[in-house]
Amino acid sequence: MSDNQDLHDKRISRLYRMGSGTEPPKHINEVIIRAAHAAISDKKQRFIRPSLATAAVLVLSISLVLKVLDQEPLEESVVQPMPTTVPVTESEADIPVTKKSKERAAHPAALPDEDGSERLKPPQPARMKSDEYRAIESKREAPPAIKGDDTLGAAQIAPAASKKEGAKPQKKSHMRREPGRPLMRQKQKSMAPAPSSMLERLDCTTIPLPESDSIAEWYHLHKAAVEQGQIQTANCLQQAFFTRFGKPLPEHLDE
Amino acid sequence: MSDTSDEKLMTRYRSGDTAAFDSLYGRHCGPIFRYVERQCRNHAVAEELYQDIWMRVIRARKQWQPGTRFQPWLYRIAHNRIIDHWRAGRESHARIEDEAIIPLDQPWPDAVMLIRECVERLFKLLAGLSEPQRSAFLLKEEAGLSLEQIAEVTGTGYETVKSRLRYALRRLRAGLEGCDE
Repeated sequence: MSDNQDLHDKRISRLYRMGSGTEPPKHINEVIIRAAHAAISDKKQRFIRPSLATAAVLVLSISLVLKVLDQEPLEESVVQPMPTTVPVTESEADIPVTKKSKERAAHPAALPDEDGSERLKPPQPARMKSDEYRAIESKREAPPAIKGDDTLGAAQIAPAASKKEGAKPQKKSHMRREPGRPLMRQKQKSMAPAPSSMLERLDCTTIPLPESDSIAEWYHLHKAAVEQGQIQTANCLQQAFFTRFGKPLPEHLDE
Repeated sequence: MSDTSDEKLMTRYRSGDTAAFDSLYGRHCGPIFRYVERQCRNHAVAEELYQDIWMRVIRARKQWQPGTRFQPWLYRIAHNRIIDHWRAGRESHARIEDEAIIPLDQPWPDAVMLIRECVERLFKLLAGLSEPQRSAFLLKEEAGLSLEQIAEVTGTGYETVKSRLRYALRRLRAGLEGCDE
C-alpha cells in the first residue's frame, strides 16, 4: 500500500460524510453573529469617546487661556505677583473703613465690591497712597477745617508723606511754588497769593503773627508751618506778609 | 461573496465589514461544530465550546495576520479550546470513549441499513481513537486541512501527524471490515 493510500481512504471518507450532517443550533448562530457585529460597533464607540473627551478638554483649555489673557492687562501695572483670592465673608463687611483700608493694603486682591460680589483687583498704588495719607492725617493734629475746600490739606501733606515713606521724590519743578501764591495742590505753583475769595474765608485772627519786619523770621515761621502741616497758619502768614510788605513771601531767603 | 477567499473576508471583517463575518461564519460553522462535537462527544458541551471558539475568533481578529491562512488559524483556536476543556477535567477522556456513539439524526431506510450500520460503527471506532489520532483524522476529513496545516494546528511536526493519521486509518479500516462498497 502506497503512502498516499495509507493516509487517505475513500471508503472511510464517504462513510464519514454520510453520518456528519449536524449543524450548530440557530440560536447559537444568532448569538455569535450579534457578538461579531457588536464587537465592531464597540470599536467605533471606543474611537468616538476619546475623541469627544479630547475635544472637551481642548475647549476648556482654550477658554481658560482666553480668560487668563483677558485678565493680564489689569496686572501689567502691578509689580507684585498675583495674590491669592480671599473669600468675602459677611463679617468683613462690618469692618470699619480705616481697618478695611489697612487690610486692603496688606491683601490688595479680591476685595469685595459694594454689592458684596468678589472681583479680582490688582493693587492700586494711587489708592494705597491716599490711604497712607489718611492714616498719617489721622495721626497728626488736624488743623482747623477750611469751609468748602478740603482739597488743600491732603494735597499739601503729600510731599512730606512721600518723603517719609521713601517714595520717589517728585521733580523739583513740582515742589517749587511761585512766591505770593497760597498753598494749593502740588500741580499748581503753590506760592502765589491765594485768590481773594479763598482768602476771605481764612480765619487768621487766632494765628499769632510776627511783629518783626525780618523777612527771614517770616520765612522760617512759614516754612515751619508748612513742614508741620499747618496749612491754615501758612496761608495766613502768606496773607499777612503780603498785606504788610506789599509783596509775596519769598520762596528762598536769598530772594 | 461566495468566491471571495476566507482571508479577504477576514481582512474586511477586521476593517469593520460585518457582512464579511456573516459570510465567513456561514462557510465554517458546520465543519467547526462537527469537529467540536466529534471531539467532546457531548452535545451540550459541544455547543458551549463551539460558541466560545467563535467568541475567541471575534476577540482575536486583530491577531490574525492577513498574510496567513484563515482556516488553520480558526481550527487552531478550536483545537486549543478543546484541549483546554479536557485539561480542565470537566470531562474525562475515558468517559468519552466509554460513551455510546452519537445517534444519527434521521432514520435511515431499510435499503441502506447496512450503510447506516457501517456509519455508526465508524463513529464508534472514531470515538475509540486516541485524541491526537482522532484530531488528525477530523482535521483532515472535516476541515480538509493538509498534513502541514494539521501539524500547524496541533502544534506538532509533519511526520508526527502522518504517523497519527496512518494509525487512525489502520484502526478504522480494521473495524469496518465487511462494510465494502
